[in-house]
Amino acid sequence: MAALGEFEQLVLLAVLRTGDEAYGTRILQEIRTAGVRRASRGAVYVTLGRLEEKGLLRGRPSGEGTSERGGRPRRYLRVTGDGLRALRSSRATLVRLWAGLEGVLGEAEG
Amino acid sequence: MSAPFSPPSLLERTLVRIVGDTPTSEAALGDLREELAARARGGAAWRAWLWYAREAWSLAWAIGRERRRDAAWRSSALARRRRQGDSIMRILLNDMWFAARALRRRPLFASLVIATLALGIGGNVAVFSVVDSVLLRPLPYPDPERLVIVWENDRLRGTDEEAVSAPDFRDFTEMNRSFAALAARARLDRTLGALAEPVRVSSARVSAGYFSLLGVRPILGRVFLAEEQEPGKDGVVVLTEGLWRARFGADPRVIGERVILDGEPRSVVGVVPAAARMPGLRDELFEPLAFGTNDQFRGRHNLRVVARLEPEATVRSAQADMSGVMKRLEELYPDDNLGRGALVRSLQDEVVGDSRPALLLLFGAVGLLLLMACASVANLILTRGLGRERELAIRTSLGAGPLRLFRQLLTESVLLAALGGAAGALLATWLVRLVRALGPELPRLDQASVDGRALGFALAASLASALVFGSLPALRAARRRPQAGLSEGGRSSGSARSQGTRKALAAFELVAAVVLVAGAGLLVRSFWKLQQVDPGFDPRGLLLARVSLSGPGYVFPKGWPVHDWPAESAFTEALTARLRANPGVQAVAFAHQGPTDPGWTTGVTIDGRPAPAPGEQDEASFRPVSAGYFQALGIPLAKGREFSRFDSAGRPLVAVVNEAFAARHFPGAEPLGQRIVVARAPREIVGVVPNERFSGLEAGPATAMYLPLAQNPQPALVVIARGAGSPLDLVPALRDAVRGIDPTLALFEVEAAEAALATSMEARRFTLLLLGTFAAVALALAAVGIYGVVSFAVTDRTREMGLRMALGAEPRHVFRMVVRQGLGLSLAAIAAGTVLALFLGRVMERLLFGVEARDPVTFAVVPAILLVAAFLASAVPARRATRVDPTTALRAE
Repeated sequence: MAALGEFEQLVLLAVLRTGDEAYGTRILQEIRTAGVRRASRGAVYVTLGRLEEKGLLRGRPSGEGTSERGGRPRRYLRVTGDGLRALRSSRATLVRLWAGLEGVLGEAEG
Repeated sequence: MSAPFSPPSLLERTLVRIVGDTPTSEAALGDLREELAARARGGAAWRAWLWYAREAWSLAWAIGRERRRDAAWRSSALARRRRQGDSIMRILLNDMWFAARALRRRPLFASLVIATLALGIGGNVAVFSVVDSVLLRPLPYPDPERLVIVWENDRLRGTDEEAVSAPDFRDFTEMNRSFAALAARARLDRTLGALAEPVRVSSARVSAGYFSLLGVRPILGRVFLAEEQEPGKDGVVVLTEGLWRARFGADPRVIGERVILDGEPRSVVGVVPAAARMPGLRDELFEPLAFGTNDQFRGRHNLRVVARLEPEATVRSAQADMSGVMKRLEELYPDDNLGRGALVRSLQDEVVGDSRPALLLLFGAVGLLLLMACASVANLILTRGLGRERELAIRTSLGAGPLRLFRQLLTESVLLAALGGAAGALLATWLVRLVRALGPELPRLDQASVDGRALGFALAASLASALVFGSLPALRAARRRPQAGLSEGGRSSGSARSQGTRKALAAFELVAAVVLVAGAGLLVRSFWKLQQVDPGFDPRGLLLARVSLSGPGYVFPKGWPVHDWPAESAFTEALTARLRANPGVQAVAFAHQGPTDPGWTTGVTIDGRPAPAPGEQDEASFRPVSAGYFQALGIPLAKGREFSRFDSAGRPLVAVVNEAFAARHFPGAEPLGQRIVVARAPREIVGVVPNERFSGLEAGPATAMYLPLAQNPQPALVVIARGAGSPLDLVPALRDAVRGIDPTLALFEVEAAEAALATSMEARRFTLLLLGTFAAVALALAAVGIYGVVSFAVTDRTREMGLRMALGAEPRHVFRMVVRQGLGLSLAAIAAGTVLALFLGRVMERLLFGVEARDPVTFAVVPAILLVAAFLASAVPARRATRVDPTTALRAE
């Protein structure tokens, strides 16, 4: 399996963090509040679509779309087993590569 | 609940086309709409729109690119070969996509072009929409072009647009040969009782056939029958739709209902649509015009006459016919009709006549602005095209055919024009809404909406300019040998011809800007002069309110002239006492007309002078006022005394005249003690006051006679109260006081005198605001144009500058050289523009006040402003030129 891109990781993590509330606008907000203020709406949706295609996310529409949404239902997303595995593997890789570099890079900043 | 806030459907459909209908795209669009609605609820709508535009762009950009990438991935070499025979649509989309990418790389250029086009298109469409709705659109009647108004005029006194007397109207009906039908109407104010609260309504007495002449049908019940036009049988009314909805809850059972009109019972027989009131009038209900004994006087001009032309008649032939009729009436009735003629004018002209010059001026101005916008855009595209020659050369050498390049550049221009047009359309909708909310009272302004034809025209104009000027660099690029562009090391060098084109465009913009700024300057000067005019009274803290003494308790004495009406004296004394008890009230007075109301004139002669020939009698404004009027309005007495409470019924009749009157009738003589004869009775002049501008600030002072109200009672009164603070604070006390005296009396037209004065200048202020805005935009466009030309020349000559400085030229020499180049171009253009503006100023003459169309101040200041703008626009690139580092400039080669 190909390694996850940085933005893909951000999006997957945001989906996990928002839990049952994970749909487009909430995910975008989560990423922006986490510090990536300039994350663009377009990039988030493109990534969501790509992750779904790769089988790392599974989406399901929630019932009917209201007239306020122009009849288009929200699409709630859930991280699949493959998604979780990909995240773990990315994290493990990062941790291995970070190990021993604290002296050079200093502590991670919030 | 109202419908949810939703994005414009065209924009959304475009977005759907770009992002497709995958589940993710669908969800993204839904999320976007949901959040737009939430934002619109929580804050300003425009902010929500801005947010939507930005986010939609982000979505379209990212998802659109992803889709293309997928498509490219899927298309194998085989598929690519097949695509060479692709549909035109596909190629176009491809080009469009490429153009969007190219524009995104130069956001400043793209936004400048789009903003310029939006201003030009938006302004034009908005002004055209208003002009169309007010001036051009036909009136809401069948065959409206056949409707005319018949006025009388008076060549002895030089007045026109006078109303018609009832006997004259009857003679018109019998003697004319031009009209299929004639109808008369007279407006009057009535108190409508039998409702929760008595209200003042504007009523119209209309003669038989009024509704059928206009072609108006009742929406409920019927209109008047022929026999209801006779005295005694006229106890019926027809309501307008507006009054029916506002006061009767749109209840269809209103037919047959009784209402009380000035104390008399009437029954409602029908409801008519708003079109039944003639444009510009505010009728709320209609009564039959029954000609009674009052309507026998040929000298009493109170009817407005509307007529429908016979099929073969024209306004001109009807005018000739009516002039003949008036001539015969003049011979038959010299006492009343000497010197009187007729004036036939189409209803359409009548409705829009006054607003025409201002609207046409604005239309011309905004048209000029569109031309400027096109020139600006052309200049930007030309400049940009030159900067890209290297890119184009590379692409040619990589195998792009000339046709391909041409198409590509053209697509970019078209895309820009389309984006600018869309932004302009949005701006226009918003502007029209703004004009409707803030604009002056123009007839039919409330019906203005963005017009599809105007939008189409402006779009076509900008598209054409984008095509023409987008194709120039494209053509040149397509013809060019690629080596030329590459070997110059990327230094852009506009050919002499294109530099010439750009100079000409910038010069044109300057010329147009001078014209617009000069026009705005003339209006500013007029406005300023108008504000210097002394209204003749002190409007600060002054409250005006009308009240009409009618109903059973206020029966006006019979006979003429009337010199005593105890009911009115009792009312004014009681109201004065109640208001005086309020510490916030400093002064109270009454008058027949307020200080901003021209009122009416009546004949006057000087006692002891020979009687004038019939029809040549002089007239002056007839103004009954109470004791203390001049003091309450802050009008200082020039001579003599003002009225006191002793100038009452039964005491010697007296009068006060204004200075204009004294100058006309007693030049060089003492007016005090002279006697004037008004309404058959001689009165002694006891005082002289300065001129009040009751006919409006723009009109010159008119002659006026003030008479004591107590000796000349009037049922229609204006209550005048002066307070220490805001005049509107006095309104509750005034209402309480009137209600305490008589609850059936209704106060109406309650306003502060300052507001009344401001209203009279509202239309002028609005024209000024619009033209001023256009002028400011024009100035900015012209400055950007000059900046572009000079800035480009500087870039082009970087090497030369570097060389000069290396050889010892001082920075200020370089600065001067560059600025001189910019100013040389500007001076010639400004001079040409000033000459043009001097000529065009004449079309504005009717809109000016106290200023010549060739006002020296305006024509000194305006070129100076333009010159400063041109200097600043040249100075910025000139400064850049002085900072050229010789070594860098030379090494660049």
